[in-house]
Amino acid sequence: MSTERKPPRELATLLERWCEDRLDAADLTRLEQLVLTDDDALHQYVAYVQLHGSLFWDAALIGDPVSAEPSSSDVQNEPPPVILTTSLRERPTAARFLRHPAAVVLSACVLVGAALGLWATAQKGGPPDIAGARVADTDRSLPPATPIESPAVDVVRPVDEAFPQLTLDRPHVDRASSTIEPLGPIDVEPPAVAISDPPREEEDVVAAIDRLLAESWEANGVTPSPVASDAEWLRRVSLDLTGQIPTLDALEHFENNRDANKRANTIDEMLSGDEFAQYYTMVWANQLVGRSQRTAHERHALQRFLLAQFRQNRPWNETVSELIAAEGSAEENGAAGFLLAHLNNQAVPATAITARLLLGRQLQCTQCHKHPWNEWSQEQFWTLNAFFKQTRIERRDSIESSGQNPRTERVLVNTSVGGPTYYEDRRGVMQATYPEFEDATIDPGPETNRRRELASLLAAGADGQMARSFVNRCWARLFGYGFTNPVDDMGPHNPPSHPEVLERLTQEFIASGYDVHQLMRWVTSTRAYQLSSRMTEGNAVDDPAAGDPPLFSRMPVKTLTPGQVFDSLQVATWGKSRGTYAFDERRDQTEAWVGQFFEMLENEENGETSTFGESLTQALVMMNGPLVAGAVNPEPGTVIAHILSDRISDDERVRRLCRAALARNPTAEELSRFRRVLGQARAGRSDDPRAAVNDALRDVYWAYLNSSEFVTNR
Amino acid sequence: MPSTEQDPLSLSPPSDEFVQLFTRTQRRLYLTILSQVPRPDDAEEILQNANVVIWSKCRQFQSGTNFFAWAARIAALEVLKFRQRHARDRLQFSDEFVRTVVDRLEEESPQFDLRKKALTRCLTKLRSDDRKLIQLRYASGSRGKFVAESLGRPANSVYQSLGRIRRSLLECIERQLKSTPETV
Repeated sequence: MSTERKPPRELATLLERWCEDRLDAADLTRLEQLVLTDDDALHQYVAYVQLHGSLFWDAALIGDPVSAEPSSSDVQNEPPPVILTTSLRERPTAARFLRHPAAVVLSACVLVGAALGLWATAQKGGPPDIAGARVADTDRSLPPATPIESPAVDVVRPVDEAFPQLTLDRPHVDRASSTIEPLGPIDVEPPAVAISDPPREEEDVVAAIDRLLAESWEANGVTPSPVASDAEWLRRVSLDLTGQIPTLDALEHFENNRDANKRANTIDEMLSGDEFAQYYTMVWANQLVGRSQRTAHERHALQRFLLAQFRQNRPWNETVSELIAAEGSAEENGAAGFLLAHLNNQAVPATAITARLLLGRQLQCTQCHKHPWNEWSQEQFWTLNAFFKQTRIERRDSIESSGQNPRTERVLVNTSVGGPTYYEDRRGVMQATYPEFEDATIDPGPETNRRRELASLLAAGADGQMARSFVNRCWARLFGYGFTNPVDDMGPHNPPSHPEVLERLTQEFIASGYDVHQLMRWVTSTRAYQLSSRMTEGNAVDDPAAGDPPLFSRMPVKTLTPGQVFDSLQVATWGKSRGTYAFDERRDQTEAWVGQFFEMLENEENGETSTFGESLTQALVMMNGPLVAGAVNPEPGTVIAHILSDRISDDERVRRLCRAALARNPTAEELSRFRRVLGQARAGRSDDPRAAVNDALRDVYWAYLNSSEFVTNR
Repeated sequence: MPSTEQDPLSLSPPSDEFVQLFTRTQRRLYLTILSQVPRPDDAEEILQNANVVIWSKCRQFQSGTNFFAWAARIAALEVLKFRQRHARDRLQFSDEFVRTVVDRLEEESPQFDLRKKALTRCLTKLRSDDRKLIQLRYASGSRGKFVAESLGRPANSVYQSLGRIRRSLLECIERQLKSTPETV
């Protein structure tokens, strides 16, 4: 260990390519050559194996790296890692579920089933087995079959940006405070058609998209998958529009409904109910401000603003304008919560996030250097930035401040400063710049309210980019893939996969007055959205997970976000929609769960990256804790209690458990395996066979809830 | 794919000792497999296959003998089977390479624990953005290109960042090891 061991450049490149699975045949030959002829190279290879493997195994020692120190130095008998992260790792909480051997057997059964089912489904598109949802990526992520573990869940790649859902709340807020407009009206001119006009013929839009997609299928020689079953579709649309799985009752109702328009009606019900507004509030609040704990009350205020906007289905350009132009404190004006979180550091975060989230433009990189293929220049970043430079954050006594309870609050204040703003260019020279957006300049004088001007420019949407960006994001959320990849990097350097579809939807969305519900209705009514996720022989080449542009000839499989997992588990436990909860109650529950989960990940500053740090894996760790334990605990009022106490056969119980968790019937193989398990349980305890069977049924539910299928949206 | 299609219902429960040894050697087994495959992602699948076999043979393990050596032999067979199964669709390391690397890994394994501790310390020293990126890369069981997608960054820039961070972690680990008394 005494020699300096810095890998030579070539070796380092090869080792890096190995880590990222990018070795080609020539790389591999060269790597072997180096490693076999040079002792240092061999050492470096082993060091990389150890580094990459350890990071993977401990999932980069998520959270608190210090506490992850191993407690033993005996390598031979290394203790399990303290911080457990993915389904592949030892899971301490699993032990509590191993109440009797049946659980072990069930777990093993599901695990092997997982492997077989996954393979079979991937190969032939056969019926799904438990845990057999075809993962969007490859068949690589099967958990090791360690029967002492819970049936682990395959990790599917995150879809779109890793948006975690923060489930939210609307705690004792009155309508007035969330719609307050201290600024007076903003010049939002809904272009073309006012929102109150009768909607354009929906069939036209949907039929046009169907036609365009069908043309692309034909051009690419693929045949679309068959239409998804009612159950598959209902689970999908529930997760997509309300962030949760359907209840057992909703599923029965939907399947028994003979109305030919039942899918369209269901979409309408979901959009007009509170669930959609709540869910989209979570989605957007997370993207806009992340979940920084420091400014929780500002985030909550922003959520209240968004909730009001989505509930009333306010035009999207109005929402954006209010976010951009907001003044005052978050308490006065929830929309202020957005910029209060991002005005630090010369408003660079505000500029970058506005561009990325609301305009689908990646400007972060052009901030300091010329981007090789992004048409945005460094100067354009700073001309957009100049709109935000007039604004300061001040502190003042809160309007809720009282004698016993003095509080200060942060306030967005526009100052009367005009003239140029400055930035340092790549050569270190200070440059002066003036506000400019999409070739529109404004009066740079002190009297101009720059953010108001920007809000107007955005809302007027001269080139439709704000609408296009929103359409792309919504499509990506519903289909797992947007028209561009990444979804927020649009522009000539990154042409969309279906330019006509994107353009048609964008123009219709603008014409509808930025009607969010209408957009959702259009997209969820397309033929593509009705299709099964199952790969067929005719569309095996449509494999966006392999990196090809998606053709949408089948529904890509999406992974549930942590928020969806939580809400879905609540539905599976209590059998009622999350939208029926009082806001306070729902907020307390969710924040208690999601909160402890995110403490693990939260590091310091920066609202922008804190919106990324989430992944499903951590959710699963938590999920294997008390949450699932609660779901299989037959307390009065729970789904499991109903199923155990109803006068039905055990087969019917298994069927209902499967439907409650996965919205499908058990496969014949599952049924026969579970019958054997129940039979063994009954035989094993002659004193109280009913109790033994009930325990085994709880294990069945546990296995279904822990299957990879539960955390995927097909 | 598990290589055995044995009905799991027929498995008899293994002893506590077996479970303990099994759990404790998982990481090292994973590293051993990882060193033998050109596609790191395959290591998980092979480990899983090996685990199914190890578990099904729990009766064959003799208490008091070297569990890791026993398990590693099973794993080596699984690597071989995997290579045969994927002879066409995967790149393969040569036998000589695999032998050399596994031997060296074995030789250096007494250092693994120290290195892991050093890694833990080094992770705390990363700039927070770098640490977040590394966590994102590994926490999600993800890959660089998916991280790039989720961050909305070009894949190449993410690869570069990850490479830089991994190299700095390695350098940090080497520095840490040098400064510990054992190596002075």
